[in-house]
Amino acid sequence: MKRLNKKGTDKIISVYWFVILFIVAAAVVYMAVVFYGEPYDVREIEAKIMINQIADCISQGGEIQDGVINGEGKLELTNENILSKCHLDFNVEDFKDWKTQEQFYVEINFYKFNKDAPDGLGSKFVEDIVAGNTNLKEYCDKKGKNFPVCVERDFYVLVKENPHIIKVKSIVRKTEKNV
Amino acid sequence: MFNNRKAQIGETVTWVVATIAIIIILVISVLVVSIGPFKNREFKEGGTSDLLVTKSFTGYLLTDDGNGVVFEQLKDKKTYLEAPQETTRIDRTFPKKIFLGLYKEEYSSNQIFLRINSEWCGWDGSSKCDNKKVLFNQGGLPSNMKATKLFYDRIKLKDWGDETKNTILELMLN
Repeated sequence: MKRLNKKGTDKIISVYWFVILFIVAAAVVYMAVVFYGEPYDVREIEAKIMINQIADCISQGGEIQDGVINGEGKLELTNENILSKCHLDFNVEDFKDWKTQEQFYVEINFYKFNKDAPDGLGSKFVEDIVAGNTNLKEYCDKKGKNFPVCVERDFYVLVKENPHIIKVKSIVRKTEKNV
Repeated sequence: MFNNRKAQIGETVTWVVATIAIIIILVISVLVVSIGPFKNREFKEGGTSDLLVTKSFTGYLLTDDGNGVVFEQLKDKKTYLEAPQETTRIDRTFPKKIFLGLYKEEYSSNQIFLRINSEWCGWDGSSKCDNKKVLFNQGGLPSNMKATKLFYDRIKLKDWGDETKNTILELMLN
């Protein structure tokens, strides 16, 4: 009688152990999936790095770099040469349609500094410089992680001792690998 | 027979408590992973540097505000010794427009300041601050501040003797 009871208890405990083992394994798998399942979204940082690279390319020591604006006040940095002059490479890996659809966009606006304007922005003094996929611009107003990430930053710089503000807009798409 | 039943009850209670403990630990772990900081997988920037603000700061120091180049004015003894507190010849519109105008959306607009101070003064008010001259101060003094997204830069100014020893110009955006 006693021996039969012992056997029954062992069976119940075995089943119990399997149930607990299954629950623990399921929880570990769930946590691993949650932790590693979603990619890191690094697009904002990527866009900021691009802005820093452009800012370094345009200004040094508080003044505009040589080779950006010539003696006549015209831009030497153009849409065509900005990538090579600022050491930027918009080529991306061959993934989905990335080769045919550019994943980056940059735009640089040059403004005169206006002490009386609320944000210090005066009129534009040279034409804008743009490079990359211009279609990405239209998504900047839209919110949501499935849209490209837009970052716009400004800095103050002297152009021939006159104060100016430079705005740099940087857009990174790469949605498929970051969301 | 009675003793046996007591032992069985004791053993069952142990298993029930162990099961509850396992379940609770698992639920806590799953909740932490699901709603905790791991769920929002974004890189946060750290540190107290910001390349664009640094560039603007350097540009501002080289600006001629009508009274001369700002940095030259700051090196002048009269700027921070002989002029009364809170006043200098320096045009305050420039730093206000540059730092508040350009960075008010990225940093809290009420916690931006540019001032001349003692080198040993902590930005958070942890050490005694002389506040020799405030060139631009939007919002409360540093003692009220909590660093959230902080930019901090300082440069040493000319040493004119004991009164100006270890004097710095500091810019902070929080």
